[in-house]
Amino acid sequence: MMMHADVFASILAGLGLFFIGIKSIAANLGQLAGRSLRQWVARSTGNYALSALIGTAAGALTQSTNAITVILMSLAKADLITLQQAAPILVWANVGTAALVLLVAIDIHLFVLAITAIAGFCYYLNLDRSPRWRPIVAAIFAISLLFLGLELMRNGAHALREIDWVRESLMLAAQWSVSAFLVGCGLAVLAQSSATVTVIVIAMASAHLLTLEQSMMTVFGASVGSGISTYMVASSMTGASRQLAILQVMVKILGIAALLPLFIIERAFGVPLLAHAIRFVTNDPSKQVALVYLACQVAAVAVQGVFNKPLLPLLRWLAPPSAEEAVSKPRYLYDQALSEPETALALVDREQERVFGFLPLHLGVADHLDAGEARPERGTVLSVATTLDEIIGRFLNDLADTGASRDVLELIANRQAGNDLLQSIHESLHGLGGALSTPFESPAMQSLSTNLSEGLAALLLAADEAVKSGDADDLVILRQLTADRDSLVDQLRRRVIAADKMLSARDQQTLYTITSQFELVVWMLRRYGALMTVEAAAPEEAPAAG
Amino acid sequence: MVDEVFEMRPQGRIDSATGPAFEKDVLAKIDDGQRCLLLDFGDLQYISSAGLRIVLLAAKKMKTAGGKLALCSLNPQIAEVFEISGFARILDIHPSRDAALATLSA
Repeated sequence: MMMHADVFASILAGLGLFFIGIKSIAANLGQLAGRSLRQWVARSTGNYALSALIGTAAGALTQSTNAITVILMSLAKADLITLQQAAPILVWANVGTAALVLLVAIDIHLFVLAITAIAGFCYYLNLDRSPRWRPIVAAIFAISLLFLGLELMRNGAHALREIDWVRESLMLAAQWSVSAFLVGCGLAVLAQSSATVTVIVIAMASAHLLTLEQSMMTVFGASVGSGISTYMVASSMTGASRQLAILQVMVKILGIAALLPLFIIERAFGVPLLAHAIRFVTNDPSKQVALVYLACQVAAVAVQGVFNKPLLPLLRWLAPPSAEEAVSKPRYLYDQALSEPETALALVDREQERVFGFLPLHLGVADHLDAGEARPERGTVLSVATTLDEIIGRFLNDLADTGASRDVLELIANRQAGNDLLQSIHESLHGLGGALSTPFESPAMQSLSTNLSEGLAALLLAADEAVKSGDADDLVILRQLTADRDSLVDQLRRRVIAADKMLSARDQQTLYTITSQFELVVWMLRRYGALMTVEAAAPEEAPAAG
Repeated sequence: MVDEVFEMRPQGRIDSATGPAFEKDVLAKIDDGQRCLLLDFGDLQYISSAGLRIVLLAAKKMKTAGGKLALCSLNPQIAEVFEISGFARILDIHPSRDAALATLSA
C-alpha cells in the first residue's frame, strides 16, 4: 500500500511542479515578450509568412495562446490590427505551443539537471534581484521546475504500470475511444490548456500505460476541450475580442473534425492513415504523442487557411464591434503624422485631452461632453482609458524613435509623464467612483459620499476646462483648486465620526479609504496641471534666459 | 462710484435639470453690465457638480469683466461641497448676506 501511495504522491507532486512551472513561464516570458510582440505584430500587417513566423515564435516563447490572444485583442481594440491580420498569428501560435510538447518528448534528463543548476547559480549570484535579469532568471527557474515535475511524473507513471488494478483499468478503458476523448476534453477544460494534457499523456504513454490510439483520442479530446474553455472565457467578451476567441474555438474544433475521420477510417477499415504515418516516423511513444499534438495544431492552421473567406464574415456577424471598441479607438493619432513632430505632438495633446475628458465619467458626470460625442459607459471608462493610454504611449515611443531633436524629446518625455499620470488618475477614480456609488446605511457616510462625489466631479470639470484651453489663468486656478487637502480630509473624517458615534468598523475603514483616495486624486491632478504649466511657461522663459 | 449690488436667490436645487436656466440668468446679468453680483444660497438645499461649474464660470467671467461676485448663506452640506471641490479657496464666500453686502459695497 505504501508503494502505491508513493507512486500517486510522486505523480501529483510532479503535476504540481509542472503547473507552477508552466504558469511562471507564461508570466515571465510573456512579460518580456509583450512589448516586442506588440511591435512585431503591428509591423507584420499583410505578410502571411511573417505573421505565421511571429505567431509560432510567440506561441513557443509564451506557451500560452491565451496570452497572445489578449495581446491581439488589445491591438484589435485599438484598431492597430484587423481580424484578418490577427487570424494567422493566432492560429500559428497554436503550432508554436507544440515546441514544449516536442521538447518534453525527447529524453532530456541531463538538460533538466543543467538548467536546474543554472537557475540555482543565478539565484546564488542575486541575479533575481536585478530588474533587467529578474524575468529571465525566473523563467529559467520555472522551466527547471516544469521539467523536474515531468521527471517525477514519468517516474511515477512507470511505477504505476506495476500496479495490477491500474493496468487492468487502463486496458478496459482502452477499448473505449470515446472515453479517452472525453477524459482529454474534460482535463483540458479544467487545465485550460491542451498542451498541459498532452504532456501528461506523454508521461503515461512513455510508461506504456496508453496505446497510440488511446493517446490520439485523448489529445483530440484535449484540443476540443481547450477550445471549449476559450469559449467559456469569451462568453463575457464583445467585438474583436470575442471574434478572436470564437476563431480560436472554431479552428480547434474544425481541425479535430478534419482529423477524426482519418482516425475512424484507419481504425475501422485498416487503411493506413494518421497513426500509420506517425508510427512510420517514430517508434518512441512519447514522440508519437507529441506528433499527434503537432498534427492537431497543423490541422487548425489548415482549416483557417481553407475556410478563411467564409470564417471572417461569420465571425463579424457572430460578434459585431462593441460601443466600447468604437470609443477605444484614437480619434486624432495616425502614423503618417510621425514625420512631423510638431503636428504629432499637437495630436497627442488632443488625444490626451479626450482621455482627460473621460475622468468625470467615473463619477457618473457627462454634462461636459457634447451630446453627439461617443463616450464610454461608466463601467468601461478604465478599460477604454487604458487602451488609449497604451496607444498614446506607443505613438510617443515611435515618435521618439524617429530621430527627434533634444527639444522634441523633452516634450515627448513630458507627455509620457502626463500619460502615465493620467492612467493613474483613471485607476484611482475607478476605485473611488465604485466606492462612492455604493449606498451607505450611515446617513453621515452617505452625506459625505454625495458631497465627495459632487465636489470632486466639479473639480474634474474645472480641470478639464483648464486642460482643454491650456490658458495660463485657468492653469493658475487649477493650481489653487488642487492645493493640499490634508487638513480638510482630517476635518471630513472628524465630522463623520462626530455625527455618527455608532459608525461600524467597516464604514470607518471605508471612510479612511475614500478620503485617502480623494486626496491622492487631487494630488495627481495638481501634478498634471504642473506638467502643463511647465510647458506653457517654457516659451516665455526662454527669451528671458537668453 | 460703487456699483449697485444685484442679488440672486436660487431655491431648491441646482443640478443638471435646473442648471441651464440658472446659468442663463447669471450670465445674462453679467452680459447686461452688472458688475456686483451676490448669489444668496440661503434657500438652496442642494448643488451638483453642474451647478458648481456654473458658479465658477460666472466668477471667471465677472473677474474678466472687472466686477465682483460673492456667495453667502451656504448650508453646511453645500459649504462642504465647495470645500471639497476647492472652490471655497478661490470664491468670495460669506456666512451671511450682511457680511457679503458689506464686502461687495466696500
